[in-house]
Amino acid sequence: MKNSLAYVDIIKLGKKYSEQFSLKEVSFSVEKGETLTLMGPSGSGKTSVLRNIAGLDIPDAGSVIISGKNITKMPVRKRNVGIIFQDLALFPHMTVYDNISYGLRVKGFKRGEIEHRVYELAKMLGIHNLLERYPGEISGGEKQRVALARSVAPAPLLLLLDEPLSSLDTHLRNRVRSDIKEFAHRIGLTMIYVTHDHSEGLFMADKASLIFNGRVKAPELPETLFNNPKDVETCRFFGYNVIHIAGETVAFHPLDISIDDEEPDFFGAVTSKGFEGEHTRVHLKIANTGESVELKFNRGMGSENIRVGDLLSIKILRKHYL
Amino acid sequence: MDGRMGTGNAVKIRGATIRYTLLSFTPSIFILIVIVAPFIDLALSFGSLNFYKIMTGSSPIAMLSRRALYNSLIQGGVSAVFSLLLGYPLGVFLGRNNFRFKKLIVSLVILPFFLPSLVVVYAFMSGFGQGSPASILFSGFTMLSRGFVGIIAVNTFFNAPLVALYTMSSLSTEKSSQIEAVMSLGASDVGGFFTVFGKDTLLAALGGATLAFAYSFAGFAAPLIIGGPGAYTLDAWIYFMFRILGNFHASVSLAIFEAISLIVPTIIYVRILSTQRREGSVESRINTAPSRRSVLFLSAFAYMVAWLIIEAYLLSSVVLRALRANSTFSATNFLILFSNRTTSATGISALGSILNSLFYGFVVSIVVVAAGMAWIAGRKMLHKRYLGTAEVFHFIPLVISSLLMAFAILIVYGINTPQQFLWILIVSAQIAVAIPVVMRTIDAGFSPISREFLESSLTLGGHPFLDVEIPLAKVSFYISLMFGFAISLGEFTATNFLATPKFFSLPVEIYSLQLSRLFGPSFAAATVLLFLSLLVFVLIQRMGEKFIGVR
Repeated sequence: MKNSLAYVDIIKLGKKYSEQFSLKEVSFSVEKGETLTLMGPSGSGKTSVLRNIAGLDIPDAGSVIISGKNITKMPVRKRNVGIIFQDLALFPHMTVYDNISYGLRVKGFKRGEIEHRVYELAKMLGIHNLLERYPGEISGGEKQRVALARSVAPAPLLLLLDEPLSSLDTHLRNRVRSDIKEFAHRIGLTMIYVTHDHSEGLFMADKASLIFNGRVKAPELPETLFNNPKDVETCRFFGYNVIHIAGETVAFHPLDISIDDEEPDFFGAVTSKGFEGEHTRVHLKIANTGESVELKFNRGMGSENIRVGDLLSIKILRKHYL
Repeated sequence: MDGRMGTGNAVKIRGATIRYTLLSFTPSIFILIVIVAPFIDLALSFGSLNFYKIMTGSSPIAMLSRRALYNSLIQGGVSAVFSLLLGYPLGVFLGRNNFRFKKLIVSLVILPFFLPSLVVVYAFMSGFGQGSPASILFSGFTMLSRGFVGIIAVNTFFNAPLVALYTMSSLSTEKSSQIEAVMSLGASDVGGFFTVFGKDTLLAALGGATLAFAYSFAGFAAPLIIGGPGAYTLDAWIYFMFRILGNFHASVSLAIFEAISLIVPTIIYVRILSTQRREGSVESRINTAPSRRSVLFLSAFAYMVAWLIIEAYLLSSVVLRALRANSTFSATNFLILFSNRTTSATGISALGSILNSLFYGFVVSIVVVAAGMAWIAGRKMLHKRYLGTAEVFHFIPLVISSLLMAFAILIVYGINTPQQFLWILIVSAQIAVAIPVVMRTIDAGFSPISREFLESSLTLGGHPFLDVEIPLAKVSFYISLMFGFAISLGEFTATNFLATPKFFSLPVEIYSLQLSRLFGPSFAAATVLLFLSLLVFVLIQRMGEKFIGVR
């Protein structure tokens, strides 16, 4: 434990919530100033991991170590670990200024210092004109920034984000996640970011990990994790097709295909087709195994001629043997 | 060393848990001491296992007790049915539609339930009694001012708004897309409504009707004042047996009988309550309400207008009756009310009774809200949203009616209480009456606060209860203070049982003036009570109408 070089060390964390669900020996580490994203489907235990790190739930086993200090049993308010919830939980009875300054006030900072910090943060996040308003009077994107400012104002050792962008529309979500990432790098924030959206998770990550049924897989670079999936559940989470060819389990990404009548890997009948702008999505039923697969044809691949009921010969450009 | 430290910590935690548990049980402990313990003591000391025999045999007491039980059941049952029939359509109409001045109209529709029962009785006496404009128009209306029909009318007028309120609150806007779906599939207005909201609204209305049954079963003011002995309920008969006939043992037996009888409706009410998620959604509006030109809408609108006209007529008739003296309108009755004639007739001046009422209201509101705060604070310290069975204690005042409560308090505590401290017993009884309402009001302020708010405060190093919950729920405290005040102001049954003239409240003064045949001043006093109650009601409305639903 003492030999650990990581800034945040989560060691064999375990917590039984019910007969059906528990966190099982969750271990990972995060370096200072890094963002680790934890991705997984609904009910996989993402939020539970954050709650145990924040101290909102007390683990049955394992340790939470931040900056060399074991905080596993430390009361929540003394941990200096910030958290942003899915619904942001901005205090509706306080102005934006009071929300952001709350953590500093309760920690006994001097008034001048509080004002300085709040204005500095608000300016960095572009919300300095909203300080007198109440949360009910600002937009969704502005609320995200206020929540971020409130959480980072007391300079937390670690910031936990629990699907903070889920209430935003796609366009705004993309913009805000970019802002958060840029802001976090600028101030050297250490974050654990939880989401079920793999594109968001990969975008935010310096390192990324997956969680399924209370078990966390070892973090990797986001590119490595996505491009080299090692098991069926990872493949399925990232949207890969998993099929059986000649007795082997093969995964492939819906985009990694071509129509090839000469050396196809499989044949299948088209069951549905739809144009989605960037690409055309086609569902296919494989002739000999009956397995269903999803394919994506980029523009210019001739997908406009495909009709429901057609028999296609498909070649997999990049196979992952599992 | 570690082991000892561990043990020390465990002892500390256990000690804190006990303290917080006691804190959270404050209202329950109060009810235990003020209602349950005296009642059990009364039952064990003076009752017997054969208490039910009060109902058997051919003695006059047994016959009249059976009659009182019959009256309670019939008055409770018929009042509940009428309250359901009249209140449900009102609730559906108000819940489904949005129109100008809706908030004001909703407030006016539910107003009767917030008025002191005595004022409502007086409204029917003046509105439909001999010589009233309604009776001149049609003499049959006088039936509504006396006897069985009058009692049912009073109970219905009092409780139908409660049913309407419960129905209205159960119309959740979350389901508006469902009603759009069934109507797009071809359902009619009424059919579509019942497919989506039928179960919720009927269940809520039944909850209100169950309360209407319990209140009417243990009705006191109406049977006593306009019913007469032939229409006495169990409460009125117990009061009569104890106060007039001096038959103590029979009163105790009947009190036990009544309390046991009320267990069933209380359980039904609590069960219904637990299935309902009521948020006092007075503003709820379902977008697929019938067209404003439809017969359905126009009929419901006409019905609501008729309700408001009757209400306005009844309440104004109290004022007009107070202003009428010797066939002319003047302030004579008010002048008599505040003269020595009143004092010599009742033993206390009108001003004295008003000051008593204000004093009781002040003490009751402060104590009951303090108990509520202790309950909430303890619950928070224990990290519990609900305490389960402990909170069932809050509903005990529904089982042990105000009269039985006062009866037990008087017998168990009254004997050793010096006369000058009698007010403590009165205030205690009024607090117990107010507890179910005030606790639900306070709870309605705290329950919707999201757990994430509290956890955010906690992770930032703050104190969630003081920094977040109290500021967010403070309106519920203000409303609770006023509810406590309003309930104390209108409480008649227990105060009438306990008070000597020096400690009369305004409602008891009104009744005493009537017994002294000072009818004009009695109506003048009822007018003062009406306006005081209206003032408190307006204040509650202005502060937070969503809390109105909790009474």
